[in-house]
Amino acid sequence: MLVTKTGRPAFGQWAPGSDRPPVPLVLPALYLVLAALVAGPAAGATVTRYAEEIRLSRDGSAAVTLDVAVSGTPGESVRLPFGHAKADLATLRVAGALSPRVEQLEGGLPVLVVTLPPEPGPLEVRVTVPVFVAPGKAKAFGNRVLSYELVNATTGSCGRYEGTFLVPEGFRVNTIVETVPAESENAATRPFEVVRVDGRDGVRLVEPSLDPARRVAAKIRFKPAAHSPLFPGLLLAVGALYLYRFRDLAGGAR
Amino acid sequence: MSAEPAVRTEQQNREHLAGLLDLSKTKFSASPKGELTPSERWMRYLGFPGGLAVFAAVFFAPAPAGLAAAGQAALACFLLALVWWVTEPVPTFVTSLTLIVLLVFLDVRPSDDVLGVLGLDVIWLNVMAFVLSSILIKTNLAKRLALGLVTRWGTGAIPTLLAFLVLQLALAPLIPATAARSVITLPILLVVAAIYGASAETPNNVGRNLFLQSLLGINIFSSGFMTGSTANLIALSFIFGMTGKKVYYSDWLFAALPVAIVAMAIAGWIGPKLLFRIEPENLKPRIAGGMEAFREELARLGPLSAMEKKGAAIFGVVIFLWVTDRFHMGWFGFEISPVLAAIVGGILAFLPRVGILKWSEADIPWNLMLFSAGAYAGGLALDSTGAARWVIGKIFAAANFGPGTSFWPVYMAVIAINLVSHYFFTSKTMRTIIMIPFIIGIAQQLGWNPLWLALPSAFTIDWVIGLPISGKPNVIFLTTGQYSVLDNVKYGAVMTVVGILLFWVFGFTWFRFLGVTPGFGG
Repeated sequence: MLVTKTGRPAFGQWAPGSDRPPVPLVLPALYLVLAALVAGPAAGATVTRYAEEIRLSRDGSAAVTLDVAVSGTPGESVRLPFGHAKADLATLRVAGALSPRVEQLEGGLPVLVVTLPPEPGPLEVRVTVPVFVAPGKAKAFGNRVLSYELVNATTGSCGRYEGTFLVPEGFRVNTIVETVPAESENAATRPFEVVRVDGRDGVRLVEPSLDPARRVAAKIRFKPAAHSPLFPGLLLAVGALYLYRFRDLAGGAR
Repeated sequence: MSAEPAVRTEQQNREHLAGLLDLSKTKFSASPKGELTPSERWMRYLGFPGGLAVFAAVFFAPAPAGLAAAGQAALACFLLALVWWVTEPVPTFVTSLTLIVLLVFLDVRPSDDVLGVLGLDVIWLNVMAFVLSSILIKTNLAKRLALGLVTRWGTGAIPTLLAFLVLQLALAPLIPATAARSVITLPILLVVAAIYGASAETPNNVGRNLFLQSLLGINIFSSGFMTGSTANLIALSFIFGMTGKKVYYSDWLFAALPVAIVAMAIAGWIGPKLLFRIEPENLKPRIAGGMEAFREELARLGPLSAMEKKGAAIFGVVIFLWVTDRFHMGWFGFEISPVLAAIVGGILAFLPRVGILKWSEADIPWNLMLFSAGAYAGGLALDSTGAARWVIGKIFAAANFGPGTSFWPVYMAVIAINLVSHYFFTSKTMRTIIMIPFIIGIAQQLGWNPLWLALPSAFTIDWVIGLPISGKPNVIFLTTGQYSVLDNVKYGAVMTVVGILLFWVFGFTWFRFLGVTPGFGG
């Protein structure tokens, strides 16, 4: 049974019959709107796609390409998530936007700030990361680990995220250790797939909507594609030995 | 087969029958193997290098696009194990141990993951299954039930086979866990097989038919009921989640149960008439004195002993928990899974003074547990590395269903792929998770009602009949030594083909009539 009480509304509660909201509700809402106007991707800028490709080299460096679909007013400043704090900014090249720069937010998260050019079009960013995979001794089975994460530290959604992580030539993806978004046991599709781009193996990770504060991450183990040359010989020897040692089996019923 | 003495005294007959039915002497953990036929010897001889050759062909093949190195290695290891499990150049559990080691040595999965498979609930269920079987055997309940069944139905081997199929059909809607149904019937099957002269030492075609048909019945009848297995419900949740279309219990029952019944009728004919012809001398129980001897033996058991009552009570508790699983949440505030229900039974059975078993009397075939663990480790590796998904994706891609394709070729291909795909999985759940979304995607891409393909595909999920590793009942029954891996492969392959043909025919007719597939105007 629904019970209604008459009387003075509680602090911040909208009084029945009142034609305007209470001040304690209006002030935080106003603050949020203002904050979004100041810190968002831009007042009217919209990002609908954020694709990045990371091509690893054998020396552990990586060539990063961002392909971002952004629309807004020419001259508008746009903030974009940027997951490469260790990038060599001297190599930063941007097509489709002006005056790019990387800013560090409190807590160390980098964001890429660009100004939209007069002609609308996709934004392409290229940069090199000198040490993407730490050099050093490979782990068991010759594995090396590619680890990457990106946090959308802006206040606007970046739409569909697609990250492609390509391992060096002559290497293969061995296992996908973890991803964010993670694979769900009962989900119809996986958020990642193993791909081959220009003859190089890699992993593609998809997040349908890279909303503010959302994180995407991948940890991938990769190793040399070549097998030990001794292995086929060993198999052959074991097979031959069996055929010799158990030749009585071919001799009919006992 | 042991030679029967020409003349026996009545006393000797009685002793012979009592010895035959005394299953306490039968040890699952030490099932002896019968004599090998020449073709089996050749299979063993060539199976070992054959497995290595298959392994090498996959492992050293050029890296295929879309498949991780671990996935390719998992596929190679699994195929090697598959060849060895079928041809048995080494015991099946040794193949499993080899598979476990290879998965770690070839960097497919970390050793903790691979070795941890032995702790999976399916292994626990297998262990407890044999504890529960031991209760039925020790208390003579299995003997009483089997003698009751044989004296009532057992005018011959064929009616007995039929009786077990009816039993499996009756149990399927009551107990969703297929392993549980196997446990209930296993000891009774053993006694009945013994009555027809079939044992691990002297397997014959009655035993082969009895166990393999029961295995088929347990699996295939599950497909007739929406609640026949968890995988059925997962398939339906995918269908509902991805298409918003709800399938009711009766929809499933009317469509799928007739297929299951016809399939088992065919299986009931193919087994004894074609694949494992029952020798005329085995068509009747191989006991001097015939049916009268069984009646006498049953009468000699007398009324239920205290031990039998205790055993029945313990088993009753477990069956009650299995049957009432849907009410657990309301009663207890949580659900008791089939494995935990079996463990409860195990606790009761081993309780001093209350229980009826000593640890030494629980006949647990650990070789089977190792065999299962290896099989599951291989299956999980195929899944976690994406290899199973990759294989299925490649098969569907090869079928090349494009716009303009008419429905029926796609339906036929999807059904065939679904039924054959069970050879690459050790878990129905995983198969469902991979296959059903694929199929819904194909239907949506081609602009069809997804139910037309997804629901008939869901009906095939429980058809896990091809290999001893395909399902829990398959693993449990293999331990009896009443049939070989090859026997399972033969019957399973034939019935898989029968299943494909049946689902095609039902798709064109009965499913159309019910609206499961496009109607006669569609």
